[in-house]
Amino acid sequence: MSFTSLNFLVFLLAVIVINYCLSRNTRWIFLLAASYYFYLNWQPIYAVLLLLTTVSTYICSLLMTGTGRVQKYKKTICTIGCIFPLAILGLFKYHNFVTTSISNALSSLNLHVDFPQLNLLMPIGISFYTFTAVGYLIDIYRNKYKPERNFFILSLFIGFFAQIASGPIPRGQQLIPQLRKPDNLGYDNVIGGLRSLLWGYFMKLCVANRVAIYVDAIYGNMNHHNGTTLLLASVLYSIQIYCDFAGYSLIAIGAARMLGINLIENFKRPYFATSIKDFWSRWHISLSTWFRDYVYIPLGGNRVSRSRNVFNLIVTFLISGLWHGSAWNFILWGGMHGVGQSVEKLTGNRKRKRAVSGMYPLLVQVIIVFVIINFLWVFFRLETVNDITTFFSKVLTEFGTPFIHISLASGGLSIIILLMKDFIDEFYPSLTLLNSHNIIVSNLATGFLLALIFLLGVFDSTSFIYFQF
Amino acid sequence: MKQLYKILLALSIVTATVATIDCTFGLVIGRLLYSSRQTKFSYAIHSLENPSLVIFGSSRAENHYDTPFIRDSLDIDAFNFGEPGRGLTYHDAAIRVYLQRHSPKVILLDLLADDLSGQINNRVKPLYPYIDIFPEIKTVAYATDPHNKYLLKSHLLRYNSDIFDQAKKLRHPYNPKSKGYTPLRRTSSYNDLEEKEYNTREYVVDDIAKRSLIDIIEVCKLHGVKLIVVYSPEYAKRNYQIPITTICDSLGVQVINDLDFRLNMPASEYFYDNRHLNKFGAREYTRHIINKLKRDSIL
Repeated sequence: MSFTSLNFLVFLLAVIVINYCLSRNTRWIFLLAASYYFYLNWQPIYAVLLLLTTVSTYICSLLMTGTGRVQKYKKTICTIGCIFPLAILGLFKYHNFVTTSISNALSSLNLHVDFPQLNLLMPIGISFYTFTAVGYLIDIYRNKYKPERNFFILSLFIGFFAQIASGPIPRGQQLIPQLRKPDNLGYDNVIGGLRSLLWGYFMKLCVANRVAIYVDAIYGNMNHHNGTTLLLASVLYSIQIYCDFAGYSLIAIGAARMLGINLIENFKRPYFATSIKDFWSRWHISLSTWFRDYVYIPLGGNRVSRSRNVFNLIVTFLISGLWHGSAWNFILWGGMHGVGQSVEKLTGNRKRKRAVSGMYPLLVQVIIVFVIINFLWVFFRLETVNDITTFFSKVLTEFGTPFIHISLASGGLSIIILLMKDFIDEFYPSLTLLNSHNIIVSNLATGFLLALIFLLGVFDSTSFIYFQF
Repeated sequence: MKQLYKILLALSIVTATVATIDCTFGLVIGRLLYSSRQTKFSYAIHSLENPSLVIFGSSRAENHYDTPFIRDSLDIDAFNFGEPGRGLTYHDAAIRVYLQRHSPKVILLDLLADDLSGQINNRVKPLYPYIDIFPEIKTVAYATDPHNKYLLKSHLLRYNSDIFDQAKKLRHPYNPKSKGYTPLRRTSSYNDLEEKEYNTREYVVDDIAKRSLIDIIEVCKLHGVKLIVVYSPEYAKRNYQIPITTICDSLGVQVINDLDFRLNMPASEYFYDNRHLNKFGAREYTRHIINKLKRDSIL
């Protein structure tokens, strides 16, 4: 059941209405049932994996809080608890990549070994719920909060339908109390949630899906297009991936809010970032903070020597790249982000403050960062060295008129609307129509937004890019 | 209670806004499109001409059948209804609408060998704006997707994804002199023109597309129109049994397989790309097919 399907809207409406009729203390029971129903609709058999991850997390979290001799083994329990879901993730996501890479490396040494390949479909959301479970266990190990004793509440925390497929990756202390007793379903939650939901749909259906038609056509036939067209496609891909993922996150946040649950903000206008570090504080925030708290800081963070700090940054981003996909291009993409941040750190670029920059220098900085990020997305999108080489050789040598099709017009209009909203939200938040304090203005804007989705949305494509991760 | 009242008020404003935009949009754009006769579809449907030969199909139909040449040289009145990127569901709807208002002698339905894959079922979409005027479109639209019964109540959804295309048509109206034919001038710069070879069928027959083909055959029979399915030239070899042929044979519909039509010159001289003939190729092919129809006393 994709978020963009009519079935999901019917499902969500039913969940909102039933949830509204239940008392606040018992809503979690219904939400758990709804979440598992939602997941079973994807791939029923893989719900077993979700359940196994939940059970192991539950047992390990409780064991860690035991007294006496158990405390001696706290670290071991935590390690086992983390390794179990990570091993499942590794099996489904990285087994073929690792074995193929080893096999290729050996064949370059004239040693031919064929490892068995697994022909398994990756469970939806496995990267997300695995990280949720691992983060929770590490928090318990660090005594950040007490483990949840109600197994069903923990199951809901790991498997909550709004976030299971593509995040945001929640934190226990933030989400579990809300699941136990959701917020009241007042005007702010219901209508605010509806607006997030609609803006998410706009980003996904009107921008990402629309732009994807062009981007896929161009990247799929790179040899037939000139460098200018490829450059345009790369810029549009940057917009596509932002709208695809931020759109999904907003739908998740909106849906949860309409149920009285506030999920963490996952995107904060990332293309207005003034440095790569700033970009990562705005892009996939729940994942970035996860890597910061559970990888970067344990490695020593920035309270180490400069060279060690650079090492920590690059390692963290290499792992982040690997999380995004089991292919070398993702690792390369992550590594380059790490190098970029390291360079910023070494040159002190991060210390530049917006307040002293002024609007025009700031916009120049924003454009420079966008160009860098856009350049790096090419490595994310193109999987083979051959494709990447073709792309850059054409961009640098084959100039010409870009290929423009009438179908781009709808996408162009949607992108303009998106840019205007992001610009206003970033620099003049009080002028945002959707969140205006005037009930008529804000709801008229919501109505216009819905009409735009009807008119410009691409409803045929149902998948989200981040589902593959 | 106050909160509930506020929520209901907000939802009412949102609904009223959408409904107002939807109705206004549908009325204005719909009126413009329908009454202006600026698109090929609306022109053909409203035209008082009654050509004896009508060609339906996708871009291959539009580019392969030189209808002005048929009229000028062969003295046969013909109209080319081909629309790029359309599949069997579109042809089904268009033929139903056309035959309700016109009675040609022969319909040539130009199909691709893989048209039964159903990949382009949803491309009946450009006809949605006419759904209230031509109930025949409803039948096809609802069969393509049962949700359409509810979704197409919205005027905005009828124009979904197509608004700029429709606006372009209003700006660049259809030229009746073309008789629906669009020539392709040269060889495609995006195509290397190497003959492709398909040894196996790489798709599963789609039920909706198959139903549309059967419906087209039945509708033509009902109106007493001779239907001929044509596979016009393709610079490729298809070494498998095309399922469309099997269905047509079983229902007594003539199939002309011209996929391997070749001229005595390099393919790049008369093919635009692997799937389309250029202007020269189209002229030669038109001559070939019309002679064939005349020889068989069909025209």
